[in-house]
Parts: sequence; structure tokens; C-alpha cells
Amino acid sequence: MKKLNTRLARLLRESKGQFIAVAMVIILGLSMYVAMSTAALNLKSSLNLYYEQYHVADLFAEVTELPENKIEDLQEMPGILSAQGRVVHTVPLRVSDPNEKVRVRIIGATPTDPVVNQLFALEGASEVYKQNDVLVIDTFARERGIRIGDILTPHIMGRDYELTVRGIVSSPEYIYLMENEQTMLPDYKKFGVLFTTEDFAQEAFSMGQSYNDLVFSVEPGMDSETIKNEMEEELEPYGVQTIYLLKDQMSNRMVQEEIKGVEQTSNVIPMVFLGVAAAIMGVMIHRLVKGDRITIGILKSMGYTNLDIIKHYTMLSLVVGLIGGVLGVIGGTMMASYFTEMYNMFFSIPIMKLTFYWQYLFLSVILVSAFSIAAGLYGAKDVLNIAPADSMRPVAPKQGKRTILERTFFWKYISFTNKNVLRNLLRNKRRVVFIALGISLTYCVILIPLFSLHSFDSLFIKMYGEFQTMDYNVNFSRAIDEAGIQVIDDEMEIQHMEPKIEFPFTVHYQWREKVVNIIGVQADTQFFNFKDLDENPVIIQVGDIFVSEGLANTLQVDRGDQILVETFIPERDDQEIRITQVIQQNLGSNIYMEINTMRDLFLDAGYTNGVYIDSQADVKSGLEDFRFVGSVQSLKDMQDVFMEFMDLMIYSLSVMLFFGGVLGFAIVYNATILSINERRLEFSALQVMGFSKQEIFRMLLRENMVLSTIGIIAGIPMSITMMDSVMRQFSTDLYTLRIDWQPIMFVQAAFFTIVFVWIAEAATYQKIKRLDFIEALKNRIT
Amino acid sequence: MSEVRAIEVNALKKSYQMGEVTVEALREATFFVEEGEFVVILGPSGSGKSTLLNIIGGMDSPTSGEVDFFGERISHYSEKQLTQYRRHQVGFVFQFYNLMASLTAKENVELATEICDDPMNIDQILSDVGLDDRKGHFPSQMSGGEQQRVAIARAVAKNPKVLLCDEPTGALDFETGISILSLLSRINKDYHKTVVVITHNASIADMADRVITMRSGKIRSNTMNDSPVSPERIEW
Repeated sequence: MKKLNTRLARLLRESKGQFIAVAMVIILGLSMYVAMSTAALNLKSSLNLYYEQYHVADLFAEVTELPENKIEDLQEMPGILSAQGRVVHTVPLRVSDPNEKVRVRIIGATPTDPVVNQLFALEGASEVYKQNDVLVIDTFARERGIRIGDILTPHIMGRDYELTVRGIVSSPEYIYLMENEQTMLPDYKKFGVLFTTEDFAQEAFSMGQSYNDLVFSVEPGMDSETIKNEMEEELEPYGVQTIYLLKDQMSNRMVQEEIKGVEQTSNVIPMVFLGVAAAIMGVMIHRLVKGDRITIGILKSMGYTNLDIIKHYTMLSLVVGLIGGVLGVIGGTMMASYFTEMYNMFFSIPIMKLTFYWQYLFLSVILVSAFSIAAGLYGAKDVLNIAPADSMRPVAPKQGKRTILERTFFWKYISFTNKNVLRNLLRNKRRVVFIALGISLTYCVILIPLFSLHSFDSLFIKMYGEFQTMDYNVNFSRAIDEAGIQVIDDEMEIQHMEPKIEFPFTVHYQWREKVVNIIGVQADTQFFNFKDLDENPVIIQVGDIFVSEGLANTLQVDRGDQILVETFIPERDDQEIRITQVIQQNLGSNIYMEINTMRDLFLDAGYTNGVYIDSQADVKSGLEDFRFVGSVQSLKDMQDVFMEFMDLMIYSLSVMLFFGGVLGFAIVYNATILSINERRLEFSALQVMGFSKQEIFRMLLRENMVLSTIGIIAGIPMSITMMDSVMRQFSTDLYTLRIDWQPIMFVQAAFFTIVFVWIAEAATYQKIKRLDFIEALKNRIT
Repeated sequence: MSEVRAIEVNALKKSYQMGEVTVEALREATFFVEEGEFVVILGPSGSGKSTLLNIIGGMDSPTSGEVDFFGERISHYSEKQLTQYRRHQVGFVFQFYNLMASLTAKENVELATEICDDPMNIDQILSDVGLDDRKGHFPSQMSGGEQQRVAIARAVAKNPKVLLCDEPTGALDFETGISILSLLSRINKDYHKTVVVITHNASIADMADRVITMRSGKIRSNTMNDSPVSPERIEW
């Protein structure tokens, strides 16, 4: 080994604490990069492969009723590869605990050729032929412990049916299983999908020889948008309710959003960590070069070139970077398997497997090398300025001058130790800026998980407690008149009830379009607290059109803009309507109208297809017994699901908190050790004057506490800006993350930051204890 | 002694700017040293001897004037040429040894030889400087005299033509200082190296073949010592 490399190895060993701290930051940064990139690519490639191999539909449509024999005509349409008619309804499932509310979507269809939405059999059969046989979606079966041969009892139109489970399957259509957009989180125990024969579904739902749901495969190379428009026209006579492409399909959108989110995170967070590691290493090497002035002079006197010496110091950061990089890649690969397992819990992609992508190894090496070399070159650049002859002479002491504080009248009242603390801070502005910035960044990284936790919490509380206040949201399976609604009021224990209409429409603005549910609510509704974007309450009145902010962002519309609402309702024309208000809505995208305005524009007088209910009693099962009730969503169910989700989230966010802590530890530990090394003579002099090591340590502690305070204060606006950008990045038309700045978040982040700073500080105490101050006073060995 | 001029300095000037004051460290210094000589440059602090040594050693550049090394003009060398010059032609010994604290005695010597074309046998050199049993020791485990021996071994092992020593005994006690001077004398004789020692200690001049005295950046005298004494007979 070259002797300069021997020196390097010993340097690493002597300062192992510092280098380990930096390597930890690199390990975390790269682990996250590798894990997230690998997980995102695994998810993406598995999803695409699954879609391709199991022929996910390209086009989806819901209709009121389409005769069986029409399917052949649709299949013959240009660009259509395959068409499948289905009967799809969501109904309650009888379970052993009568208080437990479970719902299943029954899909009755006959496989087509070429096949669409092919089922993947995890156990047993992938197709059913007998009337009372059923296939169960895997996530639901797993959560409920459903096995082949079990009997399931869906409650369909007032009657219980006993169906025998013949297979546990996965479907490319239900990778992320959610009942509807408003639920946001899947609850596999409470909602599932059952696949039956077409005959069974048609009979049970009294559909005769017709379908209410269609899926299509489009021929490769054809323009799906055009085909969708043509199909829409074709289906108009059959009461098309909604028609959308795969890109707008809920399950697909959720998976794509997840991939996008992970990709974005994997591009940003690791860069922050590598950036911090590079900054620390740059400063460390800069200080090392400063301290090695004579050594560098000697090396030059021996004939070593500038390049040799710069390479020597750069090698130091490169070695640390590569060690961290290798461990980071190993850690990342292990974490990727954890991520994949987590994805397997949420997404049902049976062919999903963990693949190690060599490109991330190479990219990691390139990334970490680039950061390390940049850090090394930055730190070692002063080598060029050291003339061998000058290096032999001691550096002239810095010109001392009074700091601003020293000129004030209260300076004399400050104790000697505190004077020292303040002088050091004011005379080493670069160091102060570096540490304070580092602490600010730590504060930001710690605040991210706290912010996320509060945001999601507030997202739910705001949506299902403040924005919507009803206990139950009831959807009818068909339109009901006022007499029907009166029956509910008469038979159930209800405090307050309001009729509603919820209907899907395609909304257009310029070239943008979006399929959304328009919700008709009673004027002066008690169940919605609408607020404009400035938090001002607004009340919906006749003629009002409120657009949720997620939709407004997607369509890029604002108050006063005119949008085109394309209706699928037979004999009804498309309508141009003017937006009267853009309102806050954290979950989902909707348009709200006063119910009679909606009836006038699109429907018939008295049309109602659901109700909102307030009731102290548990009225869910009672409501489900009404033949016309399609689904009942209770606030409590939503809250239960959310609580389960929060448990998982808290775990993930704790990991993130730890990552932030490591960042803070590395910054403070390294900065303090550098400070101790540079100030050995000063500390020796203090010791000669009678200061104990504990007193010197306390002085350093005070300095760092002042810096922590500065860092935390500076971190507040920094984190607000950062969170604002995170919020924009992660908000989608499915949910809008809103800044809900709770003072407690800042206090918590400050607490955790101080804890990590204190831990780093405690670790440096050992260094102070081991320092031989007397040796420092007489040392002349470089 | 050969007639070959190892170092020839002609009208050498060096001035520094220190704030608003220009310090003239060397003023028209002119002298020569012949190959194989043991030369002592004598002068008080601030007389310019270290500056002179740095320029001869290629560590610094003159403001004006010429320096020839075995007939080759080095005073106009570029940075790169100076580096090569330092690597192959000269060896330095400093007052405070300036060893690498994290390298052993042997490794300190190897550090110098790794970049040379024609290094000497390291073990032999270490044995010659009396450090046979201290090769594996780190500087912090050695006395000042031992550290200076390592520094000399490091300078000699490169097999340079000239050894430049800046106050090599300045940080040592009398006895250790004498032993270091003996070693330098042996290297001069046994290895046939030209040795230039700068010092403020006039007693050391007694052992030199040539004594150059300096004051205020000027060469005051350049005289041959016809009867140099052995280092063991020097006292201060």
C-alpha cells in the first residue's frame, strides 16, 4: 500500500466517530434511494406485466341496462378487440357477527375471447360455471380467513344467497381495493369482490338478459380517447352513466399515484442526505487541510505534486462515500424487500417480486462518488494555495477585534465563560452558519413526518368531521321519490335527514376533462360546511355551483369560469354552467349543486338517489334491509379504517424521524469534534487557567445550544417553504394536502432536534475527556 | 573535493510584501558551493538564511537573480519543474523534524522513496542512522533525536545530490545535537552528498568545509575552512 494511503487508513481509524457519522448519513440517503427506486420500479414493471399478461381492460363503462345481444355489435366496432358485459352491484354480506358491516361487490360475467380482466387464481379455480359458485378477491379472503369450500351469504335485493367459494383470485381491475374514491383507504376486511356466473348475477339482481357494466380491450395502436368518444355515443341509448379509460380507473390511479409519489421522494430526500454528507465531508477535509498545512508543505518539499496531495484528501471522502455507498446499497436492497412486502399488503399484484436492479448499484456508486469527489475537491482546494516555503512558518494569528456585543454596556455583566461562548460564535461566522443551517435542515427533516402525521389526521378529521358531518351516507340502487324517503324516516330512529343526488358526469374545460360525481344537496344543508379557499364559510343556495379545489386544479378553473357538463342521461342535453365558488375539500373531487338546480338541469323533479342521515342509533343494518338501499357508509367505519392506517403510518414516520435524527447527530457531532480539534490550544490554555474538562464541555454545550436555537428559529420558515412544496407535490385530484400548521408540531420538532443535538453533544464529551491538553501545548509533530 | 559547482547563486533577491511594508529578505546574494562540500550558512535570525535555503531547495522562487544547480538554471523553473527538482535532486531536513505522526519511522522514509526513480535501500539507511530497532515506532514513541534521525533518513533515502538542513539541531539538546551533526557529517563523507546546513550557532561552522555568513539578506563572507573539526569536538 502506498504510504499516503496508509496515512489515509490511519486517519480514518483515528477519526472513525466522525467518519461513521457521515457514512451513516450516506447509508440512509442511499438506502432510501435504492429502496424507493427499486420499489417503484418493481411496482411499475410488475403492474405493467400483470396488466399485459392478464389483459386489463382499456375502457370501462357503466350503463343503466344494455341487452346481451348488443355486446356483439360493440365488439365489432372499429378498434375494439374485446367487449365484455357484466352485472355489477355492491351488496351487504352476512357475517357471523351481526354488528359487523361487510359489503361485497358482485361481478357476474362470462369470460370472453379474447379475454378481458383475466383473473389470476391464487388457490382453486379461476372461473366459475355453476350458479352458486363464487370466486373471492384475495385481499378480502386473506383478511377474513375465507377458504375454498366456505359458504358466503350475500344479501341481494332482500334475499340471502348461499354461494360456495371455489377459488381465491386476484384481478388486474382491483389491485387497490376500494369501494369508492371517498373512502381513500382500503379496508379489506369490510369490502371485497365476488366473481359469480353471469346467469346468477342477472337472476339475483333481476337484470334479465342484460348488463349494467361493460369492459373493453382496445386494439393495440388505436387511440383510446377516440374510441371512448365513439363508444359513449354508441351507449347513449342504454343510459350510459360513466365511461372512462384505464388511466382514470380508481385502482390504477391509486397505484400510479403511489409510483409517482415514491419516484418523487426517491429523487429528493436522498439528495438532501447526500448533500448534507458532502457538506460535512467538505468542511471536515477543509479543516483537515488547514490543520495539515505543514504536512502538505513537507509533502511538497519531498516532490509530491498538488494533484497527488489533492487526490490524497479527496480519496478520504471517496473512501467514506464508497463505504457508506456499499452499505447503503445493501441496506437499500434489504429495505426494498420490506417495501415490496408492504406493497403486497396494499396492492394485489400476484406476480410482483423483488428484483434487484444493477443500474441502481451503478447509479448509487456514481452518485456517491460524485458527491464525495465534489466534497473532497472543495475541502482540498486550499492545497493549491499552500506554498511549501510558507507552510514551514507558523500561520500569523488572526487579527483580533472587538465584536459588536463587546461594545455594548451590558458586556461587562456577562460571565467570563459566557463571554467566551459569545466571542467564539461571533468570530467564527462560517462555522455558525454551517452548524445552524445543519440544525435547520435537521429540524425540517424531523418536521416532515410530524407534518405528514398531522396532515393526514387533519385530512380525515376535516373531511369526515368538519366538511361532512353526517353519520351515514346512504346511496340508493335506484331513484326514489319523496314517499320512499319518508319510509326511512318513519321506520328508523333518525335525528335529521336530507335527500341528495349523486351522479357521475364528464366535466370539460377547454381541452381538459374529468369524470366526477356531481352532488346535489339541500339548500342550507346541515351536513356540509363549505368553505372557500380563504377559510370563509359559504352556504349553497339555489343556482350555486361549487367546485372542489382538487377538481379546480385539475381543470385549471376558477370562480366565474364556465364549464361544460356532459350528461349521460338519456334525452338530456349537455349543460354549460358557471362556477360560483371554489371550495375546500381534502378528499376526492366533486361538484356541488343545490338539489333542485341539479334536478332542473339534468334530472326530473323530485329525483333523489340517496340521503344523508344523522342518528345516534346504529341504523346501518336496518338501512341495508331496504330493497332500494345500495350502500351505507358510516362515519364510524371510516374512522376505524383510518385508525388502522395511522398505526402503520406512525411506524413509517418514526423511521423517518430517526433518519432526521441521524442527520442532526452527524452534523452536530462532526462540527463539535472539528471545533475541539481546532481549539485544543485554547482549551489547553483554559485548563492551565484552572478550568475543568467539564466546564470546557459545558462551554461547548452552551455554544451548540445557542446554535440550535438559531437553527431551529431559521428552520421554521425553511420548513414552511419545504412543506408547502411537499404539499403541492403530493396533492392530487384524489386528495388535497393542506397546510394545517399546528404550533405543537413545531414544538415537537424542536424537542426532537434538541434531543438529537444533545445526544451528539454527549458523544463528543468522550473526546474532550481523552484530549491531552498539555500535549497540545507542546506538540510539534504534524 | 570536486571542482564541480553544485550550487551557484548570483545576485539573488527576494522581497515580500507584508501589509504596506516591503521586506527585502535577500539582497543581491551571490555565492557558490562545490560538490561534496559540507557547507554551513551562518547568520542570526532574520538574516535571510531560511529564505535562501528555500529558494535553493526549489520551495520558493526568487524575485530576481539566478540559482544554478549543477549547471542547470532552476531559478526560472516552472512549478511543475520545481516539483520534479525537489523530488529527485534535493532532500530537506527541518528543525522540527516534521514527520507524519500517523506513519512509523520506516513508513515515513518510504513516503519519500515511493516517488523517486532511484531510491536507496531503506533498511540500510535506517540502520546507518542507528534506528534499526525503531523502524516500527511512531514519531510520538521516539525522542527528538530519534525523530531527527528519521527525518535525515527520509531526506537521504531519496538519493538526492544535495541535502538541505534548516537548523537541524535547533530543537535538540547539546548531546543529541552533536550526534545529529555526526550523522550529517557521515552522510556527507560516506554517501558523498553535498550537505548545506543553515544555523545561527557559530560553533557548528567549525566542522564545515565552507562557511558562508549572512546578515540582513546579504552574504557577508564565503570562506573555506582548511581544517574542519569532527563534530564530537564542537562545543556550545
